[in-house]
Amino acid sequence: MEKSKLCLAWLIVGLAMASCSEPAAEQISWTQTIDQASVSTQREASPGFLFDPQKVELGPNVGVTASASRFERMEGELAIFSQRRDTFLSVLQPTKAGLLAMKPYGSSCIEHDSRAREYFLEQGLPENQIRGIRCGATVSQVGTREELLKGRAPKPELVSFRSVITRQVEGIRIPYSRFNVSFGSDGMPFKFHIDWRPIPGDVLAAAKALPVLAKQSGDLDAPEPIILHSPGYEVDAVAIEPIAAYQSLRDDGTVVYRNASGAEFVPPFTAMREEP
Amino acid sequence: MGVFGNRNDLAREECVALMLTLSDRPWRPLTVSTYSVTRNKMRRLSGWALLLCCFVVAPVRAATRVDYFAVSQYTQCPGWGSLSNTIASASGFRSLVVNAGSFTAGLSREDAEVADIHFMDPAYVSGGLDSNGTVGFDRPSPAVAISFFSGHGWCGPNGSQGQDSGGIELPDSYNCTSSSQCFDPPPSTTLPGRCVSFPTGLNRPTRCAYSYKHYLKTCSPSVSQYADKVTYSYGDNKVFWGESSTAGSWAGAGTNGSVNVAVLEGSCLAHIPSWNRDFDGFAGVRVVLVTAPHFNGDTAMTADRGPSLAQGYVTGGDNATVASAWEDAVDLTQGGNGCTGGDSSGTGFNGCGANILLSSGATTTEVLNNRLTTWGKARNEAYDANGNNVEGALWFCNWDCYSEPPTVD
Repeated sequence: MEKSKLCLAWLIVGLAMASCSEPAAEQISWTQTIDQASVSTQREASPGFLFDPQKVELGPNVGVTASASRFERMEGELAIFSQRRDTFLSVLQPTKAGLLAMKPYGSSCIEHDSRAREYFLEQGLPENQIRGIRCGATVSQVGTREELLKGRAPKPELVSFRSVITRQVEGIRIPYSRFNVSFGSDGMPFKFHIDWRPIPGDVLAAAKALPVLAKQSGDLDAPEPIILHSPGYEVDAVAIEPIAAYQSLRDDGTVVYRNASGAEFVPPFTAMREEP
Repeated sequence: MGVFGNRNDLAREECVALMLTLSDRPWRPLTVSTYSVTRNKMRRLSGWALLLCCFVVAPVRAATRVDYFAVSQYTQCPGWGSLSNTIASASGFRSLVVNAGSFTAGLSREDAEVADIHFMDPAYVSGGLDSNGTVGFDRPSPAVAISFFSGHGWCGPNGSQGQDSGGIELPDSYNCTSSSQCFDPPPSTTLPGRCVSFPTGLNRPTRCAYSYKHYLKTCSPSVSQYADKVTYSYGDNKVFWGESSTAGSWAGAGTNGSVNVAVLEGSCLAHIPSWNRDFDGFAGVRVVLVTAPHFNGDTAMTADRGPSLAQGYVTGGDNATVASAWEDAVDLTQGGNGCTGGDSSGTGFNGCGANILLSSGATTTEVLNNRLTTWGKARNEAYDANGNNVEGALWFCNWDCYSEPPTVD
């Protein structure tokens, strides 16, 4: 192909792509969301924790990626870092290359939990907000179909551990606040999901003032006063402010929320939503 | 080679992926910032790749649809209680991934609109409609990236998960110290038996459990033809998913499927140590995500499992892996009382359990590649599994199932 025709072909393809492109996604700049974050902390009883994007290791070729949501996203060859500053959610995920390169930390949940607590404190987070730590393992098993069908499965191999630090403020549990982390063999996180937003003083006071409710029929326990906020990963534009509420667990494992009057309600983020 | 495989496996795939990325997304402008991971490669190759895609390489079919099949009402099916959160979980997943990016909404089939034959392959099952364009779980047109089932599963004879006989708790003689002692399956269960064990804090004795034929339970008596039971276990399998033209017809089910990621949410859909017998429906589908309770509990049917799975795509986009998101879904799901109670609550299980990810391939390398499918590749038919000679699972347990494994060998 002649050079001029090649250029023309490129031009036509480029124009076609541009003309058919989707409208630009709503973007919130880092500086705008910093302002939002500072506003939301003005009446806080407990500050939120926003992970410093400068501290994440993403591997080579890091770039900022456009997003269709309120997340800012940075991608490298080994990991993807996303953050919503208005909800204080920070998420680090390994890419496929990152997973292939990863080696697990430790050989048991006990070791991993210990490192998680240590890392949590290194970030300047308050020890007295740790409600509990739980841990799970991720393991792999691969074999030929025939051997597996005979029950001769190869021994599972460890992939990683996952520690989950749950949160309380002055004894009030905040179930959707999370500090989930998995460490690589160097003791640094290769994956985390940190949702540790500010808790307003009036909401904490309201939660502490909630009266004791009797155990409801079909529940495992009496309703527990909590502070409820929406999961930070919601695409919806507006984050749900923390509210004082009750939570109980039915015997089928379903979570039930009640308002300050004891009436059951369905938080908007657990209700069915329609796509546009 | 690491647990997941070898980084060298990526070289060929990255090259293909670059071209497919270009061909897969014809309606968005490609900018350096959008695909920063491959930025430098794109600078060098984009010209040639684009030309190849336009003039040489046949366009690869994009599969953008996300379908869900959720059964909440079981009132017409005696013995099966209704489930309040199935639709919220499945539709919540779908709306989040659709709102966040490049997936599109497909079928929304609920309650009596979900029938057993909608999951079954016509090549093996008379009346099977899984490839039907308006009702099928594995419909080829329009091609489906993700199909999500939420509803009841069967927990074996008398709900015992293969642990007792005739509704009578097995005597202590059924306790075991090794799987070699588990050779006497109760009625309706089969060998191989396994000596299952539990985390230390539970103080439960190890005991034998046997295989049984799992099924999804639908409730559409006027449409269903197989008693509303979708069996998918080895020996009585009626599902063959993902048999696209790129996967080939190795499973004997033709090439009239498409689904790349199947999500199965329900009780006892598989058990961790017997995942390979419990699900035998591979025909090209790349990954199957299954809730797998351990033998001391069950899946909690909670509204936020689906949305928790979606968060991986919402936050990470196309280059994040489906596996990573299914792993997160254990730790983000609020429902369930957890493995050992107390601070372990949540995780989507009442008791111990795992979200498991199953994949197959003609070779071990293919399995290792398939299990790390990204959300972007989940929309692309080019990476379908080409066999099931090798099968693999990732267990995302809600306890330390490495130090305290679910079976005693």
